[in-house]
Amino acid sequence: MNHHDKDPLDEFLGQWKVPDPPPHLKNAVSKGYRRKFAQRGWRWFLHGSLRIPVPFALAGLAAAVLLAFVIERNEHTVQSHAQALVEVQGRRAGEIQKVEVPVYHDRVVVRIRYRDRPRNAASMVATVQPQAQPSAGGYQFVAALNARIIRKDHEDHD
Amino acid sequence: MLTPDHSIAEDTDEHLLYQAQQGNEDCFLVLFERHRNIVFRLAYRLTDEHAAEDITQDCLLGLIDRASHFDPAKGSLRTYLYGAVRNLARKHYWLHHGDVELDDESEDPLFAVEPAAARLLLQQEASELIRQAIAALPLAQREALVLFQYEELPLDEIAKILAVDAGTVKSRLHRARKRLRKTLTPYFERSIIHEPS
Repeated sequence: MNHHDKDPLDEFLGQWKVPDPPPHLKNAVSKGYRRKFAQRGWRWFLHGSLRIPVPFALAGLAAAVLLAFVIERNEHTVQSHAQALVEVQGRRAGEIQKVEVPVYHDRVVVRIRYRDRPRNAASMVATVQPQAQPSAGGYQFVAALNARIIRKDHEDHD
Repeated sequence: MLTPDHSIAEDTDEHLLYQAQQGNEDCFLVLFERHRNIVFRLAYRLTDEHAAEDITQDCLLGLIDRASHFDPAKGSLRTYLYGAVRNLARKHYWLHHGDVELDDESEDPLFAVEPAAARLLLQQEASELIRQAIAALPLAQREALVLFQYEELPLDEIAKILAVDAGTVKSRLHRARKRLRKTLTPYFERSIIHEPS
């Protein structure tokens, strides 16, 4: 089958003439083209669309859900802290109560014993206020200090 | 020295299309001038005059939106436009005829002629008669016939446009011509007989 077969049917079909495109078609197409480009720009935000691959869309959705969960949890924590603070502040500001707090004054008593003095004279008691006592990191003065010098054997020969 | 218009007019379809996509209206109008006749002609033969205007407009404006669908490695822009016109014509056909069989296998002609009307035809009458006879063909046969008979495309290019194999195109052409011969023989025999020498 080719285009050069001489068939009466082909000759007859060849009589079908098509008119030229109407002149106004050019104006219509040109106008349509300009309208198409006018619609671009800011109108894209109203009518535009994005093609996102499904895996990216799912990942984005999961990230959004996770983010929403974290934000919600943080807000809940902050809210509960704020509520507790308001409760405390409310108690301070509005409900002033006088509370009796037991105060204990510690007093350290140090007894100093002097060996060479008579027993009666040595038996004096010095009272030291905690404020005057130097801080010893929680340690206290010993009641009596008995120093002993231990000589080793090899030191005897010197 | 070449004017800017001359250089655009000699540009390739691919480059013009790219420029038109970027908003260059001059390039778009050169493309339009270059292809409007073939687009309108095919649309006219597959549908009717009014639909042909709409299809030509939609086809050429749609080219800007769907330029990425056109792959020069697969075929020329003309082949791509033929395919686009064919798709738009099908859409028009479905809108106006509903979901009917596109490729009817029956041999009964859908367009009947009255033997009494067999007479010497004027050019305009013959044209209208052929238009009606071809319009009565199932759409798939009409597409194959118009592309082969009037656009003079080779079978493999028609097969590419219609997305079928060349054997199917041949079969559709055969059935279309058989129908037309049956329908139009009384006319074209008389027409030929009375044709002035």
